[in-house]
Amino acid sequence: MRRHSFVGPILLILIGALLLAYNLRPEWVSFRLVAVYWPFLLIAWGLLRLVEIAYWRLASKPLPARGISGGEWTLVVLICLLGSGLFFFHERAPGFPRMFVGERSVEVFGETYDFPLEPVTRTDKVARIVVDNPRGNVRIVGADTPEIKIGGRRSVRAYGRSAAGDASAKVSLKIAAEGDRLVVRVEETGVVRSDLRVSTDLEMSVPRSVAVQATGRSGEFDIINIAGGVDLASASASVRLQDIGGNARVDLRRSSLVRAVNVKGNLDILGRGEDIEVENVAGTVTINGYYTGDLTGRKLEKPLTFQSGVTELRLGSVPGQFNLTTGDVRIRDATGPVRVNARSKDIHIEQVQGEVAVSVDTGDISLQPRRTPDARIELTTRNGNVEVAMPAGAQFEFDGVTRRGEVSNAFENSIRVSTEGAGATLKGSTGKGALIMVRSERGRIELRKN
Amino acid sequence: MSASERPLVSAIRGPIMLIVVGTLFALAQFTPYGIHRTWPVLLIALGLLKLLDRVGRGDEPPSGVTP
Repeated sequence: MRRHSFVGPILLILIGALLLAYNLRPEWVSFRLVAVYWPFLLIAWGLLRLVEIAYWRLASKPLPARGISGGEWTLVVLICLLGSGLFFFHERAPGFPRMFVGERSVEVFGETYDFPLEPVTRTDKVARIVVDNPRGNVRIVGADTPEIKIGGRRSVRAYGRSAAGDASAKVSLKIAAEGDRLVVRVEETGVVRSDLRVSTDLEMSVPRSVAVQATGRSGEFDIINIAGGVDLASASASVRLQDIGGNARVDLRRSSLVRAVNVKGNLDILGRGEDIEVENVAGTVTINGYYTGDLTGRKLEKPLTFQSGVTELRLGSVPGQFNLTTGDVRIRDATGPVRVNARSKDIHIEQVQGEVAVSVDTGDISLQPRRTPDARIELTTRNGNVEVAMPAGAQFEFDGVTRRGEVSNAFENSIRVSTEGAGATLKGSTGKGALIMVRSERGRIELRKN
Repeated sequence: MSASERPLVSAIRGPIMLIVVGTLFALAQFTPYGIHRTWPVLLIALGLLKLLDRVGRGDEPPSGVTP
């Protein structure tokens, strides 16, 4: 006898409820929710079926020959393809927040109507400006003036001006002083049709001495010439910070670019995103999350810590510059401790001082210290070549081992080469210097003169 | 495991594989371990379930020659 499962109908009810919720309360169901959490549907399906089988067994009813039928597996494959596709768009297409047709068609076929905001000038004496703009750009510029000026425009993507005007009238700007803070908030005062897209771009001029705290869901942040701290949080944004006197913290679920130039305090960047550029930062720089683009840094006075997926980069300070891309890490003029851990990258380090520890799974390593190394250097690759270029008169101790590969040695007088099976070792010392330890499972080791 | 328990292993194989598939996709969303790296777990899970099935069959002849 074939047993009929109740999991199918439950899934049908769940999907129906999700679509109904979208039609009635679109703000409850976001594209992100479906794109990110769909695998839990499969897990719930499997768990429900296990519960069902356990119940049948306890009730001594006959069990099905197969827990999931062929047709159901076909549905699973379709869900996986659809879910992966949604996730792909969610990750790749910024400003593509909802999944259904209305809003997309207005983006493709509609027009953008702009409505300037009534300029507002406030003279409140506040220490902090708090901005909440769910959708749209925020530009805040510090100036040597006690006044706070707020202006900008509202853009509505719609099929006609009257529909756009109606939607624009339902979004308002609320400004209120709360203690030592001035709160600037963009709020929907009525129900905006879900197929229209309203965004508010704020342009503010504030006293230079304030601190800035801004939140949003999508849009760009441009914060310039602020003496206090800056704290930004958004689901999707590009961020540009320039001339910041205090600490800066940027927390983004998704970003295409985070750029911070001239920051006097510490800089913390967390979340997910693509490119990051940091330049001239006096405090520590901490970047933690999952970043798929390039990381570029110049003139960092204090330590930098970067952790993204399997890649870890730590630098003591960077008077020069460094660059981290999908394929390689290039560091030029930095002080230790330098630490690089990566799975598959080529590492190029030049003009470095202090302790260095590099470990990669697959990739070549090249190192060119500025002078005699003053601290231990460790270079390890499982699969790749290692090249160390030392100044001719440098004093150092060398210990290089490759299990499968050859070695080349420009310091024949003091460093000895010996071959063992398919591998070779390079050992010796040119004087009283720090140890350079090189390990490669499979690859060439080259010690040359600079 | 007795012969009467045999269908249980076959019955739970599908749901367990489904949970594994769902977990691997969830890992791909929230950790750096994408499905292109973790897919061998599916083979391991399938192998373990098959093994459990074999253990359940004990000394019986292989299914191909069962009358």
